[in-house]
Amino acid sequence: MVVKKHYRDKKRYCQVATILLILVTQTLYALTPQEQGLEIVKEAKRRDQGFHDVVSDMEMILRNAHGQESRRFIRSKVLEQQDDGDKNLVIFKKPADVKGTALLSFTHKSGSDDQWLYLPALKRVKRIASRNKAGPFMGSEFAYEDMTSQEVEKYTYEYLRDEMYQGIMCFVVARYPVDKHSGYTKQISWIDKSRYIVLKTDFYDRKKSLLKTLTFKGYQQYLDKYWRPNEMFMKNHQTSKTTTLLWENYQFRIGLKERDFSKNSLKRAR
Amino acid sequence: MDIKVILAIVSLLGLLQQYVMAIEISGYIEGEGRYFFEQGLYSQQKDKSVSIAWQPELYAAWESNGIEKSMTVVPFLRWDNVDNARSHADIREFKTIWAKDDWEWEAGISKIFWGVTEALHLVDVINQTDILESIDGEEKWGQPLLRATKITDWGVWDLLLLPGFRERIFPGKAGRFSTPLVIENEQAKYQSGAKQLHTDWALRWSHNMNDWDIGIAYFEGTRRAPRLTINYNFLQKKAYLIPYYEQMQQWGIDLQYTQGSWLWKGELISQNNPTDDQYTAITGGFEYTWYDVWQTGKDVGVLGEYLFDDRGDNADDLLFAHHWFAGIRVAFNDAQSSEVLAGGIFDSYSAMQMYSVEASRRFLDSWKVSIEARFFSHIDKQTPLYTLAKDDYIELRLAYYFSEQLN
Repeated sequence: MVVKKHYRDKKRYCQVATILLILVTQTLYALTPQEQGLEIVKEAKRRDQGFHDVVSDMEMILRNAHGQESRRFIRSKVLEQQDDGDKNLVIFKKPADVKGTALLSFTHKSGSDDQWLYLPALKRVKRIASRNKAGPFMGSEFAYEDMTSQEVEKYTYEYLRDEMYQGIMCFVVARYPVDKHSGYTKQISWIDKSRYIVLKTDFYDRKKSLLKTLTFKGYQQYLDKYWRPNEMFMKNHQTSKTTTLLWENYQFRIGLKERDFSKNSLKRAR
Repeated sequence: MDIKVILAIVSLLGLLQQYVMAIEISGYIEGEGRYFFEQGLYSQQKDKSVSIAWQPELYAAWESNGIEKSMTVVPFLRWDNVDNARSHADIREFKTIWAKDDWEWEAGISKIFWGVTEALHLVDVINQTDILESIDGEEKWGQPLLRATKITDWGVWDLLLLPGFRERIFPGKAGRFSTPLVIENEQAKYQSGAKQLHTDWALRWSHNMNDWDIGIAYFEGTRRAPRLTINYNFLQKKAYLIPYYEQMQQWGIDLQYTQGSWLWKGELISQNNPTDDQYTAITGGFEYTWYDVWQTGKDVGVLGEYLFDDRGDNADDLLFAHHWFAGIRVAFNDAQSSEVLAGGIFDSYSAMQMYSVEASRRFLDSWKVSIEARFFSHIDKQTPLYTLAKDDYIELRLAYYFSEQLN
């Protein structure tokens, strides 16, 4: 009797274990494409966490369909936030007529961001409406929403497939903006499977047709952890205009503080 | 040049190289032409004027003992071929700013802006308005000041001491936008015995919480807007005006609520001065912007503001005591940063109206061309500025901007 009971228990234990195993594996394999997409983006975000602050210089080259060029120089400062979207500050250096103009953004994971613009000629700090997402940044092919902090919560995701892009195995992930004021219906990104960095993104406009393609080049790793591109190239397929962003002088953890990202500090920002 | 001077400069530059983090030289030089549609009130006044202005800026920043320090020098020069008064020079800025942790100190000549509204700036009282530059009230004379700022979790505190006062300089006989009687700038009188050396002071608290931006300020000192008193020169048998600067105490509040595409703005002042005793003025309104209109990348904004001043017709320093302002702003968001702002001011008591159009566009990266036009209509003959009725004008400015980092 005792033996038999023991045997029965063991048998039951095995059955339970098998069921559990099936459940676990099924759960793993049964991640929906949406969940898979989200997991990939979360992992990319997790790998980029802890940089604290970063400053860099950016040159922006605008080219129209006739090849005419126009250049802007911008200094960028970012302060990482633990429980909210990052704070960032961009200071215009050139063209000379907008020198000293500075834009401070507090991005939020949900809801609209807070933005202040400093106008140096008037010494005026002006709170501006942050609904401006789809509009061009500095007349370029980058929209405001392409330039601000890319928070996970601002999109829903869908894993599409694995695919080789320029000899690198990538996750191909679609993301859909949550904010109805976004200029896009969809973005499709090619994300390097080993480094979890974006190599290319296609943007689809409100009519769901392909609008722009952004390619990232010259990724370098800083502090043995954080990958940043040297070049971002945006091509507008509908107007043939392009914008190149050239990044240099990346400096991480220079000790920026909250007060360096305040309305007050905007007036001194250089 | 003396060899010792050259050596001194070279060694100073060497020192600067070691400690200075940034030296920048920037600024602009511009040519301006104005055309007035009607003949002025005085024979000396011309229909056309040509003017040149230059405003360079030298900036240096360095750090010592953990304090971030900077120095800014901004001289300004304008030459006008018609109006001697409009040919003027100023030190717009000559200041040093020190910042450490939650503190900031500033000393020198500087410009400080307070407020949120567009048509009229009620709470903005630190700098004297340079009406020679533009009648829109946006241009300011440099103000000597000492500032201490403390940044806390509950807002920013600014304490200002303002030793020395800048007079409002009015256009001369040959200049446009003048009064029916000539204003003798040099004969200005003051209520305070200290005259121009009266030390004013101000305290301001400002804060931003989510969608709200708020500021509360108190100012005590010389009133920036003078009273114009009539005098009579018996020898020349001529009446003229002299500016009289009173003392005032003023509370000011400015508030902005930002939601979606809306900006809601309000400014309120309560002022004590010998002439008006106590008065209150309030201005406020909204700005609404359609972004990326029809996916063209252009932004179109509409603005509406109202001013109420409880002095009514006794408000001698305002052209429009109870007015509506309505405007439309178009930002093309193109590579040339093209912009147009058109608006009108309507007085709700008298029928006075003023319309303006401003447009600007960059070209060749360093140049900017702008056009401005203003038209006055139904100007009441009773107001001290009724001559404005003859001052409709169009202005063209061509500016070259420069900006170089020297290290």
